[in-house]
Amino acid sequence: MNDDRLPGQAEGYLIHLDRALDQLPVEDRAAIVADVTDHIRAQLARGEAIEQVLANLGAAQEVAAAAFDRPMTERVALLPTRWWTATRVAQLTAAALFAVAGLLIAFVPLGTAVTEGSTPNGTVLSDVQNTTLADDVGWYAVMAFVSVPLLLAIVPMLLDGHAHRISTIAAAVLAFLFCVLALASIGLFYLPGVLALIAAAALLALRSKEARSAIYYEHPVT
Amino acid sequence: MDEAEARIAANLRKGLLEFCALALLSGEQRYGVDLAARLKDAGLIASEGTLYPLLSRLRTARFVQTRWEESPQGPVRRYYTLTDTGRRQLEIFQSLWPQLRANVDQILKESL
Repeated sequence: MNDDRLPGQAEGYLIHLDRALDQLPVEDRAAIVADVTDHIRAQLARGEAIEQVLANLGAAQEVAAAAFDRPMTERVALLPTRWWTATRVAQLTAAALFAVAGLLIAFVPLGTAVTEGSTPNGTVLSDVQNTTLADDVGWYAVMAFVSVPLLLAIVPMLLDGHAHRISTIAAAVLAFLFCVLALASIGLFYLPGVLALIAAAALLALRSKEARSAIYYEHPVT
Repeated sequence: MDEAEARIAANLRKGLLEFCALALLSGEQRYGVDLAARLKDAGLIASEGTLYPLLSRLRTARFVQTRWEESPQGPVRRYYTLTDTGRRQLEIFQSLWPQLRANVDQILKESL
């Protein structure tokens, strides 16, 4: 990189350009200013007058305006995409945690039932039995308790694109609400899976933010 | 160029500039000044400076990459080359463009 001072007009132009680009991500802004600086240096080295160089570049405002034209394709879609993103790994984890929670809920005794009776001679007998959820609410309800969280984890994982994004966020919200409402009874069993779903949604948001500001920029080798 | 002409030209260029830049880079690496001159001569950019926001976007999208090289005279130059992703984008454009151009020409011919 040549560190010779640029003529005053060029410095003024670059400051003006930098300010006009202040809505851009900082890396993009720096890259454009660096490129235009190199352009000015190269043209000056070829013996062109600075007035001519700046006139050919166009007004700083005009150059900046070109940066705010929408790209042809969404940037997010342009990045090389892997199917197994961190979000999908988190959703798979959530599915596994929900499966474990489902087994626990279905087969581990969670409640007690007391049956009382009396013998013909007047002795009171009470019988305490451990009960599973199925005993209390029936197998259909248990199947719903097991399958709905599983679907919330698996369905967004299988969808792509916009549907993937929307359903990932919706599933995290629904699972969280369900978990809070049922916290007093079975909600606690679902908590690990729900946290994994919330992580999935957070990772998705993080990734789209990164994708918007990602930049490929090599440094000088000299 | 009057205002309407400038606006229509700007809108026409918008979709084509990106792929013409990729096409210019498909055969050889080029530095910014060279690309800017070629695209300006072809009427694809109104002024040389507007190339650089485009190059920044292409780099963000990983369609192009840059490297620094000594130049015979003057400062070190940043050269642009096409990436494999960029080459695929260009190939898609190349497969779509002839048919689109023929269709537009046909419609314009009928309007004469």
